[in-house]
Amino acid sequence: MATAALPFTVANLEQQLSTGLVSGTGYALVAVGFGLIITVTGRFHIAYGATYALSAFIAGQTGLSWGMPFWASLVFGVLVAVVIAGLMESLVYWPLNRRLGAAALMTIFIASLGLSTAGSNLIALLWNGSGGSVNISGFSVSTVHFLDVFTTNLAITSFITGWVALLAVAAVIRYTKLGRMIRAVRVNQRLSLAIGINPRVVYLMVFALGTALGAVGAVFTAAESTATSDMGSTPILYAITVSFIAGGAAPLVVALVAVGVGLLESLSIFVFQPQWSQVVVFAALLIYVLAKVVSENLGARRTVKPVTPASTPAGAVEGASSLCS
Amino acid sequence: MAASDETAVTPAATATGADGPASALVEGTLLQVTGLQAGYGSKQVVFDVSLNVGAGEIVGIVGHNGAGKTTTLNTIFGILRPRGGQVVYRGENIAGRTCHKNVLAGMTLVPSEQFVFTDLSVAENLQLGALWTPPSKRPELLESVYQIFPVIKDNLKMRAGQFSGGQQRMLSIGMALMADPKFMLFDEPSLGLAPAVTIRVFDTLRQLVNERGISVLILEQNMPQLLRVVDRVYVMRSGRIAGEETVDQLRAREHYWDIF
Amino acid sequence: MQLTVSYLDQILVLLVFTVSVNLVMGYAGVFNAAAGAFGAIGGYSLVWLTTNHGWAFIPAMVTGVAVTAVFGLLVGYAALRLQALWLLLLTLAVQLVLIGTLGGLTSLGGSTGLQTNNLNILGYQLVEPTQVLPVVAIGSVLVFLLCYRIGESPYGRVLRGIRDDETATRSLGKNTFSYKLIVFTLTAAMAGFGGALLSADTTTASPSLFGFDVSIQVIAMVIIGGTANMWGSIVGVTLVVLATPFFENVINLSTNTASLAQGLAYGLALVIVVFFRPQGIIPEGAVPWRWRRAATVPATLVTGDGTDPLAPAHERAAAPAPLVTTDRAPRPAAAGGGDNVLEVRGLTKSFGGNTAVNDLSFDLRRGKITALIGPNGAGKTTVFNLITGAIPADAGTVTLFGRDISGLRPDVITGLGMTRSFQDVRVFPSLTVLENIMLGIQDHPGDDMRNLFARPGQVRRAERAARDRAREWLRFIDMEPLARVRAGSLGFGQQKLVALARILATDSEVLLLDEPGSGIDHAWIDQMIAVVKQVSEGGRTVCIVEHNLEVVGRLADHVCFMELGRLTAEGGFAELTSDPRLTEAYFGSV
Repeated sequence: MATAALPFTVANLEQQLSTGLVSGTGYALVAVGFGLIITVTGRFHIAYGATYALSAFIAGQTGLSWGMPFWASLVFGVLVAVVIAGLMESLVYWPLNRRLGAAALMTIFIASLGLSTAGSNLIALLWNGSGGSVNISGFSVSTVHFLDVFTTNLAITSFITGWVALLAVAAVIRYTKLGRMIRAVRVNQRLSLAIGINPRVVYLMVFALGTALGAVGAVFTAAESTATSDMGSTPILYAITVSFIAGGAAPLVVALVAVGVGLLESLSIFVFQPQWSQVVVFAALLIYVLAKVVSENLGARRTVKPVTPASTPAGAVEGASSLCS
Repeated sequence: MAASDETAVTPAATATGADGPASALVEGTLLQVTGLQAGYGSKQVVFDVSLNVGAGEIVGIVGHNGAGKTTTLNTIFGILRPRGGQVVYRGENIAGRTCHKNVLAGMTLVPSEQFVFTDLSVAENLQLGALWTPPSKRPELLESVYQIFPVIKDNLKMRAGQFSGGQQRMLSIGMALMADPKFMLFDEPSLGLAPAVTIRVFDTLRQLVNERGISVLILEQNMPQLLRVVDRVYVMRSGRIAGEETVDQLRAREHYWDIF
Repeated sequence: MQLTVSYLDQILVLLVFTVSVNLVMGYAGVFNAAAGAFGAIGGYSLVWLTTNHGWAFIPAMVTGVAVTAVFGLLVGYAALRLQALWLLLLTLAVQLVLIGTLGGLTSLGGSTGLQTNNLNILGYQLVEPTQVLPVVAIGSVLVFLLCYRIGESPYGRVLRGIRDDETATRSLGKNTFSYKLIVFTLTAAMAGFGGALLSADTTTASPSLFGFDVSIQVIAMVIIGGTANMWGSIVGVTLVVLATPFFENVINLSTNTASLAQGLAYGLALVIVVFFRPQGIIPEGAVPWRWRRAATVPATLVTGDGTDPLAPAHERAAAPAPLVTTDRAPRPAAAGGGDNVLEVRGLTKSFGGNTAVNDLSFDLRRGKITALIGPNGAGKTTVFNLITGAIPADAGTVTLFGRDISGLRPDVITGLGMTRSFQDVRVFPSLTVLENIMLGIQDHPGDDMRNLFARPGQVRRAERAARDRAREWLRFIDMEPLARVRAGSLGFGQQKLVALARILATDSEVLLLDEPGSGIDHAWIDQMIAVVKQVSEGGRTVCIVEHNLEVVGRLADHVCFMELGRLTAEGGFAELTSDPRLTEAYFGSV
C-alpha cells in the first residue's frame, strides 16, 4: 500500500486533530440534522444534500447581490433551506405517506432521490452563469496560529458556531415542550397520537431543525472554499454512515460519533495517502454493516430491524395520517 | 366465577349537574354513536355499531379478539376515520375529527399496549399527558395523581420503561388524568396485570367516576373484573353489537361462551 | 450521423443496466444501489486487461463478467438476509467503497481512470460509434431477451411474489433466499457486462463513469419506464438519454446546460411518476401497444348474470362448485404417520423472559378439524409459527406423517405436506387472483431457472396445466370472473378466499388456518365455514386458531384449550365450554 502521506510528528498530529475537529463539527451538524429527521419521521430524506447546498448558494448570492453581511446571509440561507425542506415534507412526503401508509418508506425514498437529483441540477442551472458556483463573501479570513497548529479564524468560528447550534438543538430536544413532543413521537408514535400530539406539526418542526443544522454547516464549508451544486453529496453520505452507526442515540452522542468520523478521516493521513481518507470512512460503514450481518446470523434467526428509523411513520399508523393532520 | 358483591365498589347514581364539576357534565348522553363503520385499507372491521355513554357512566364493551372493539374505540377517539355512521360527543358531531381536537375537548385514550413512553422519564410522561392542560390546573392534577398512585411520586426521574407492567399501567392512567378528562377510553386495561393490581386499578377508576363525574368506556375481555365497575355492557361480535346487558344480567349468567 | 449513433449506443448500453436492475429490483424487490460498482468491475477489467496487459477483447470481457459475478455472489450472500433499509445501506457502502478504491489506486489511473484507444474484437476496430453499434446492439438484445424470459415466466412470477410478500412466498414452498441470490448474482454479472460495454463505448474506465449518481440514474429509468416491465425499461432509457439532445437541439441549450436540464428533468419525472403513475409508463404486465390500459381488470366488473362478484357466494345463490379431487395424487409422504398426521411433543419457546409456549404437546387427527383456542396471550399463533418452521423452537419435536420436521425451513415443510394461512391474509397485491393461486402449485418446472432455457416446452406445458388447476380452485371458491383482477383491489373477505385457494393449490394434506373468521362480516363467515367444511370432507386435515367462538363451535371436530403456552384440556366444544375451570381461565378471574 502507499507509504504514509505525512510523517508522524506531534506537530502534525496536533494539526490533523485540529483539522479533524473542525471538519468533524461540520459532519456533526449534518449527521444530527439528518439523523433527527430519519429517527423521528422515518423518512430517508436523501434530498437533505440538496437543501444543504441551497443554503450555501443563497447565502453567497445574498452577499453578492445585496451586499448582505456574513451573518445576515447565513441566517437568510438557513431560512430559505428550511422553507424548501418544509415544502418537500408537506407537498411530497406527507401526501405520499397518507396515501400509502406502512408501505410508504421505499416510495418516499425514491421520491427523495428524485428531489435530490432535480434539486442539485436545478441549483447548477440557476447558477450556470457564474460557472455553477458561488463564493461566500463578507468574512475576512486571517490565519491563526496557536501551539503548533495553523488554522484560520473562519475555521474557529465555524467550530464554535457549529457547537452552539448543536447544543441549542440538543437543549430544545431535552428541555422544551416541543422537544418532549419530538421525543414522544420518536419513541412511540401511536401513543403520541393518543395524547393529542399533531404529528404533522412535529414533523415540520423536525424538518426545520434538522435542515437548519445542516444549512449552518454548509455556509461555513462554502466559506472555506466555494459553494458547488454537488457539495451535499459527500456530507449526506457521511450523515447516513453516522446515523446508522450511532443508531437512535441522543443528538450529542451522534455529534460525537460524527466528530469521530472527522478525526478518522484526518488522522488516516498518517497511514494512507490523502485520496483514501473518504474511502476509509465508507469502509468503516461497510465493516459495521457486515459486522451486523454476522452478529445477526450467529444469534437466533431473527429479522434484522433497522436501529435508527422509526419503523412506521406516524402517518402510517393505521390510517392515522388521514385524520391527525 | 362471579366476583363477590361485598368487595365490589357500588356504581354511583348518574351524577347530576349539582354535584360534579360543572365542566364535566352534559345532561343525558355524553357520547352517541350510530351505525359506525370502520376498517383498515381493504379490511372492514366494524360493520354497524351503535352505542351511547351517559354522563358519569362506566360502560363496557366485551367480545372476542378481532371483534372490532379496538377499532371502534380508535374510530371514536379519532385515530381512524370512520367509513360511515355518526359520532356525536357533547352534542357535536365529531366523526372524522382529529385526535388532537378530541383531546382538547376532554377525551383521553389509554391503549392496550405500549401505553407509556418507555424511553422518557416518569415525570416527562406526566408532562406529556398534560400537554394541552392549562398550566394553572396542572399542580392540582399532579397532586391528585400522586395521591392516587404514590409509586409515581416516588420515582419521577426513573425511565418509565423500568416500571413493572402494573406500574406502567398506573402511570398511563396518571397521564390520562393529567389531561383533566371528561371522557376516558380504556383498551383492555387489565391486560398483562396481576389480578390484585387490576382490582386496585378498577377501584380507582370507579372512585374517580364517582368523585369527578368522568364518563368511561372500557374494552375488556376479563369479565369478572369488568363487572366490578361497569354500569352496563355492550357485546360485540364480528364487527357488530350483538347485544347489551346490564351488570346484573351479566352476573346472573353461568357462562359467557355464547357471547364471544 | 456519428452523433445520432452515439446516442443509440448509449441507449443500448444503459439498457443492459436498466433491464438487469429492473429484474432484481422491479421484479424481485431487491434494492440494489451498487449497479454502478458492478459495472465498474466489468469496465475496469476490460480496459485494464486489454490495454495494460495485452489481453484480447473477448477473454477480457468474459473475465470481467466472471469476476463481477463472484463479487455479486458475495455481496448478495451477505446482503440478502437483511431487511430493506439495511440492504440499501450495504449495497450503498459497497458502491462507495469500491468506486472510492478504484479512484484511489494510482495503478488504475486514480480519479481519471484508465484510457484505451485500440479496442478491437479479433481485428474488428471499436473506435467509431458506428463500429461499436453492432457489438452493443447484440449484447443488449441478448441481455434483454434473457431478462425478459426470466421476468415474464413462472420463475418471474415467483420473483414478484417475493417482492410483494416474501414470507407468504416462502410459505408456499419456495426457497426465497436462493431465488434472490441467483437473481442478484445474475444481474450483477449483467451489470458487469454492461460496464464492459460502456467502457468499450467511451474508451475509458473511470470512477465517475460508474459513480453513485449513475446508479441513481439507472434506478430512475427503471421506475419511470415501468417497474417490472422490460418494455418499460426501453422507454425509460430512451426518454432519459434522449432528453439531453432534446434540450440541446430543440430548446437550444448549450451542451453543458442540456445535461443539467436532463438531470433536472428525470429527477422531477421520478417525483411525478411516484405521485401520479407509480407503476411507471408501461405498468407491470402491460404490453407497449396497450400501455394506457391497466393490464388487469378492475374488481368492479359485474358478472354476466348480473350478480355482483364482490358479494359472498351464498348471496348469489350459486351452488358451490364440487371440491377439486380429480387426479390429485396425495403427496406420497402423507401415507405415513397413521391416524395422527401431526404430533407435537414438548414444544417450548421463550421470547426474552416471557415463555410463550411451554412444553406443549398435541396431535392432529387425520381428516378432522381441530381448533386451538385460549385466552389472550396463550401463545396460539406462536404455535403455528413454530411448527411451520418460521421461528426456531427452544425445545421439542414436531412430527409430520411420521417424519421429524423440527428445524426445517417453512418452504421445505410445505413441500412435505403442511401449509399455513396468515391472520393478515397476505395475498400478493400486485399479482392477479389467478397468479396468486398459481404460486401455490408445487414442483413447477418453471421454478428452476435452468428449465426456462433448457426445457422451454416442458415449462410451457406445465404452465398450462398449472393455469387449468388454478382455475379449478378459483371455481371452487366461486370467484372465476375475478381471475384477472389485481388481488390488492379485492375486499378482505375475497382476499381470504383467494389465500385459502392458494394454499389448497399446494395440495398439502395438512392446512393450518390462522383466524379464518377474523375481519369479515357474518355473511362471509358463513361462506368461509362452508368452504372449510368442504375441504375437510375432501379428506384434508385442518387446524384452526380462532377467537370467534361461534366459528369454533360450528367448525371444530376437536378443540384444544391453551393456557399460558400449555395445553390444559381437549375434547369437544360443548364438553370444554361446560367446564367451569376453563370458563374461568378464558374469561378471567378475580
